[in-house]
Amino acid sequence: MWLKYLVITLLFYFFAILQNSFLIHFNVFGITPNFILIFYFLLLYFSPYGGPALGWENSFYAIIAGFFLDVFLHSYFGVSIISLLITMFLVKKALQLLWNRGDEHTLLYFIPLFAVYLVIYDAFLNIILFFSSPSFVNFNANWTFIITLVYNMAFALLGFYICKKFNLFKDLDRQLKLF
Amino acid sequence: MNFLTSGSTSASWRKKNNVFVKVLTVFIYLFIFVGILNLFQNQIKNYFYLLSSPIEKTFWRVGSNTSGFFASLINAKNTEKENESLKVENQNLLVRITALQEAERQNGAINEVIANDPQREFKLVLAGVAGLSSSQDIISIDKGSDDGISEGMPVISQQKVLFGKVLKVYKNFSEVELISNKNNILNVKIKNSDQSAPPTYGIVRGNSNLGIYLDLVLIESNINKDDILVTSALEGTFPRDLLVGRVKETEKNDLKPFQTIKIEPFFNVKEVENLFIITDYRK
Repeated sequence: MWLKYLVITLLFYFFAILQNSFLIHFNVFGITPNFILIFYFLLLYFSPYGGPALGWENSFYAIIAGFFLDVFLHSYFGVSIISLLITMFLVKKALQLLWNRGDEHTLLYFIPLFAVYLVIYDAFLNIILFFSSPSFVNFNANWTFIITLVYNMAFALLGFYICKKFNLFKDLDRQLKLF
Repeated sequence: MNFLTSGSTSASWRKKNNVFVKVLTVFIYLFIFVGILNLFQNQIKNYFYLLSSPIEKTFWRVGSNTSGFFASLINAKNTEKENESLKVENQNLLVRITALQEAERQNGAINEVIANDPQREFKLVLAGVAGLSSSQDIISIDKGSDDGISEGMPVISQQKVLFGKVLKVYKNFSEVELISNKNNILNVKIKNSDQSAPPTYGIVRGNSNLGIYLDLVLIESNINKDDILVTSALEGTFPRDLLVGRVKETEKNDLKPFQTIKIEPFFNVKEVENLFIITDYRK
């Protein structure tokens, strides 16, 4: 059980290092994909049905992901953590509505939900930055946001197909026992 | 019946109360946790950078080599053209250097001024680039307060290209705000091909996403494509004549008193592994 949390924490750490050093060299107009956000969304989307919107597991993942995002952010700790917790709550509420309709994890819901997730996270992040570090507010409601969305979506879709193909996150405890 | 209804109502009210208490408890713990993190923010970030630095630098190098490989495949045709134009530019510069050296030799008094010009020699500290936060245009370097770095110090490359200034200093690491950061305002001089004309001054502002633009240039100023921008040292933060960028596109609107010009910055985070911090420039 604890192995699952350790592996996911290490993966968040790996993605944090990757997006701040390796992926910089593949930026498009200065924009790089945010693997931490993508991975966290995949964890939420493919997590087992049911459970409260503010479940312990998802909150733990939000805190870990937010911590690694805050380390590289020129602001106080907690900015990304709180943004992710709020975003997680809203996304889980939306997913519960879909589960109640009995729908499987389809691409039709994944794409718009991921787009909304990015917008909400960015909005809350900049709202909190406005109060904590106003000079670093960076909400670009222009063509650069479209690039951010498309670039992140490309990797998110790749992650979606990998998770669907290998049934990842459905029973992570059992999968990790194989190692 | 009333007894049953009131029983279920109080059970649901107790359940809601429990949920409220749980959520409140979580928020209190979260508040304490975030408070502790911020109390030791400098130490946490410093140790994180210190531990991650070898991995980050490896990834940075691998990323640079990989993107260079793909870029050379994609731009093979353009590389040849660029090579030819650089050869021509190099030759023109050699001619100018020769002429300047001759003028210098003939005028001994100027030589003495140039020799004593404090701008010539700066104390530099070499730092390795560890990572970049592309959302804020901030790079992290592996030198900190232990190495004599303090906030506000200019950061340049080996070719005297201006990258930015030190924003925050930790014990072993520092954060450098690039000139493309939205908060950056930099006074520059525009060097155009007509040497006899008086220099033009303007303001370079950061446009985030590693972009910059030139602002507050009078509409009647004659700015041409490929004109070079250098620091003017008027604001006192950066020494003069550090390379900033090249004019990419000019756009004049007669209804406005100033021109806004697109600039191609000289700094390139993809190709840099080491930077220099000027530690003794203070106007």
